[in-house]
Amino acid sequence: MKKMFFSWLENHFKENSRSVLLLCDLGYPEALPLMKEFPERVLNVGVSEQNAALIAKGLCSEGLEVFIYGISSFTLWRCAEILKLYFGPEDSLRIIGNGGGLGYGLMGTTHHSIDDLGLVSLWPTWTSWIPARDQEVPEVLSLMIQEAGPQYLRLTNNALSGKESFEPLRVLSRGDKLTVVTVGPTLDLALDAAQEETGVQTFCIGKWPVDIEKINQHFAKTGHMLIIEEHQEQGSLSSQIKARLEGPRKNIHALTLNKNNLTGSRDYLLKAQGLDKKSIAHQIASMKNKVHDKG
Amino acid sequence: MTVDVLSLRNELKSKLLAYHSERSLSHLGSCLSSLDILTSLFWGPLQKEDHFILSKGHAASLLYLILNKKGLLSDQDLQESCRDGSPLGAHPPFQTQQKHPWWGFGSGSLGYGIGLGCGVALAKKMKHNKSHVYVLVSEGDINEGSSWESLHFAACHQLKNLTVLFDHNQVQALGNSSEIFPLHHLPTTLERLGWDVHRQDGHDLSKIDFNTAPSEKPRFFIFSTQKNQGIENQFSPLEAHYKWPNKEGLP
Repeated sequence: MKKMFFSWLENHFKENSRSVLLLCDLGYPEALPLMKEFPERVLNVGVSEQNAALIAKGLCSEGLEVFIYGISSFTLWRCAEILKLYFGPEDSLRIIGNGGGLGYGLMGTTHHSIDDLGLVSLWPTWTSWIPARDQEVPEVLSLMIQEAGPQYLRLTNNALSGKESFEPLRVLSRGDKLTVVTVGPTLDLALDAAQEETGVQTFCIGKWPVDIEKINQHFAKTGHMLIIEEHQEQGSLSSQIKARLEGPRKNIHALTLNKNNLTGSRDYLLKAQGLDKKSIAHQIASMKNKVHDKG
Repeated sequence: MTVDVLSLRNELKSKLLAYHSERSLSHLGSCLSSLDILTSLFWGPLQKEDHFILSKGHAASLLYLILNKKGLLSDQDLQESCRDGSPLGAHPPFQTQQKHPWWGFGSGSLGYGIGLGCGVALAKKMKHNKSHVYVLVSEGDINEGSSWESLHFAACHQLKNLTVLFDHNQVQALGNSSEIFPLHHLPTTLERLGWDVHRQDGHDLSKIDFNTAPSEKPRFFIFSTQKNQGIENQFSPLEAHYKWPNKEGLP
């Protein structure tokens, strides 16, 4: 996703002279040619996320569009108070957080970003974007820059391709027995199983906040829901969806990340916490069978 | 110095004492130590296109009084400020009715003014805008790590359109800064970082002078000031951070 971002940004910079990129000493190697091509508008501010956020506010206040690129966790948490206090609907700020979720796997827990969406959702004027697949990044960026106010883009690599274009909330398999909700790349952990089973409807959330009325209507029919999210439970979109849904919630099951002391590859870490294809397929089948038995 | 600046300063001081007394409002000393610096700036080199950023947000009442005098804050809004229901609290707001570069940004959490100033100065540089950015900081601001990130950035990018005014009253919330966060090294450190550093008496209106030799470096003025300036017989410098004169104590 990182490559897709920098490739898109190069074209964007050619067409938009009021765009600025602040790098928190990250972006190797894709950022290097961009720094050469636009030396006045691509600045490496060093490992200083607070300063990056403050400079961004100063630039935004003068009518410039500012991208900050860095590791997801650092670009949000190291400067969280500044982002909370200073940015509002008038600011064209785009934070590009690489390694969303467990994207930095083996780098360790400091680099994991499994509470980012919860943090950003605390700030009323902010929007989060969660592309499911690498191929969606340019489309997401094109939509994102049209929105007012500060934007956060969560980049988590997923090279699988699909025919579907990005939508903030899309439906990828249809059925009326079980509602499955995925967030960003967790789509491809669930989609095969959902398509193999009959009666499973799969939603994919790519933007937050999003109107969840469609999910609510579907849940009203099935009464059973599985939410799969690469995020810790506290502050997760799952918990926010649960809080908003109407009807009984005892049949809503959320698969989230509950261990933050492990290290390993992203695949390993997901599997260790039950967010792998096999475990999810088992979960979907089990929930659907329960529905069937009761039916 | 002109007679006008002196009389303006005296007028602002009287209003300041009354403002804090009427509202039982702390941080009077933080305003008194900045009073002469800001009077000299606002009735000196500050142009209408220039930005002023109050990083030491606890001196908000002084800013309100100055902006009122400059016609950027109505008498009614000033009168209602720092009272129940007003958007203007004891630290400057993040949204103001009137947009003007002298309002700067909201503040209250310390250590952000220099970085915000860097961003505005950088934008002006990119747009070939010749106007200037002034930031007023306190001891507490310089304690914060974020300020040091920004001090490095400004020097590295030679933001010569940025001037930091340090109100060095040597007192912070719990005592003398020399015992809490010593800054004796500041002139040397900043010069080595790449700042054009100037030291002045922050209470001698005849000597406060923002004119300096042309330089490619950002400027940093260290003003020696006193927190209980003018109320020495009532409060110690530390007390002046928290206390205010009662009506009988007003001049």
